[in-house]
Amino acid sequence: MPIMLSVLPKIYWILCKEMKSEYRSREAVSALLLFSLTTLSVVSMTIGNEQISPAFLAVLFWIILFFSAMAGLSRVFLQEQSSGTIYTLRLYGEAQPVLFGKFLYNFLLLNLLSLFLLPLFLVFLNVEIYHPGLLFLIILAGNTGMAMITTLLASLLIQAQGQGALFTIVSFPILLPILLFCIKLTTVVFLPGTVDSLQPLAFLGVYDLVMIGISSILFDYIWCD
Amino acid sequence: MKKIDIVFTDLCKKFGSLQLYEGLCGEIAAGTCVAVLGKNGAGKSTFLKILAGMLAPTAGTVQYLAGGCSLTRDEFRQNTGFLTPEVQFYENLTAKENLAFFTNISGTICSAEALAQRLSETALEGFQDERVKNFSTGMRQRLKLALLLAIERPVWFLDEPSSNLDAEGCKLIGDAITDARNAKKTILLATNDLAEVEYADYVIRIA
Repeated sequence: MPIMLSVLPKIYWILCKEMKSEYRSREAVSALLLFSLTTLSVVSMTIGNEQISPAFLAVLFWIILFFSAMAGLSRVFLQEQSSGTIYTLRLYGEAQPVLFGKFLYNFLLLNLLSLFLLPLFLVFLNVEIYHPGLLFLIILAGNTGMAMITTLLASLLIQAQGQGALFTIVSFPILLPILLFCIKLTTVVFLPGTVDSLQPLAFLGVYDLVMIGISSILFDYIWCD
Repeated sequence: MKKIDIVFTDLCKKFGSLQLYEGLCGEIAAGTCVAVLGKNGAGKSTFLKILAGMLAPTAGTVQYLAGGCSLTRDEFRQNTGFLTPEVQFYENLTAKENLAFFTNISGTICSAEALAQRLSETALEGFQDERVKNFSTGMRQRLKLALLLAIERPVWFLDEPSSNLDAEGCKLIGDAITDARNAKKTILLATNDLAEVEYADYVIRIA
């Protein structure tokens, strides 16, 4: 418990630094929001007035969210690498505060993206939500896993060439279970009637916890070596 | 203040086919100031990084001993401060914000007044709210010194600390090293400046 208490202020400082830097440069937010807006506009214009099944709508929503996330989430480490600050951060920052500070920042960024994307998605594609509470939980759980995995992978790829493309390729298989659970659950949200089973949401929660645990263990080695 | 001896045995470092050194042995006792000399490309900075635990040697070992107990590399790192070309600051943050950030994540308790004092000591008091992207190279070097003073670690790694500094800046570095020596800090100083060598208790020459 005392170790946790000493880590929390450091996580807070990392998170604040990320938010302050982003507020002043607006690089990641602009990339995420513009990518999602462009993709959504193209999808909406292509579909027009055609009726789409709830399952297809759910796939569209999560694919847009996934690729938009790929456009901005890796910046937490790639930016540090390109500006040379990663070395100073390694000199003075401990592994766990760095991981969780950057994870929280990516999580907030993804939630901001979802908050921006969801109303536009509903309006552009004329979608009705029947279970808003469940959708809220799905987005929170999905974003938690996505933020954790992308943060860890971004830290792994800082020495690699062609980081952008590699980041998407490497992320996809690990994020696939999250995307599948989210798509399955979101389909239910777009359907009228009662929700039969929340088992996929429980699986999603467990998968998130496992990923957080694995990332926390692995990051100590990544950061120190 | 923790007293840490650094013992290195049979150190060897190769980059591809380029071998920098082989069979380097020695001990740096706590509280001493050691100058590392050598021509450009000899591996002075690499040697400092290996001793700091930031770079693995090709062969050989580095041990950190505190009161007869061996420290891990991570435990040792928590006792080190750096003034090296690799230390970079966040361009979009101000000098004060950068200092506050790095001192806090390093676990150093440092008040806003103390940080302002460090900036004042390095003649940056008028620039504390200026973003680092507007700083000259010499001002960045002073900010590195301010950070080194603020985090108050017992082992200092200095790599060409006076580079890009004017005469006043060089004097600041000299005063900081003198104060650190008086406070019995361990100082490893890679330099080509013979004036800086004067501060050292002894010299390690890398051929």
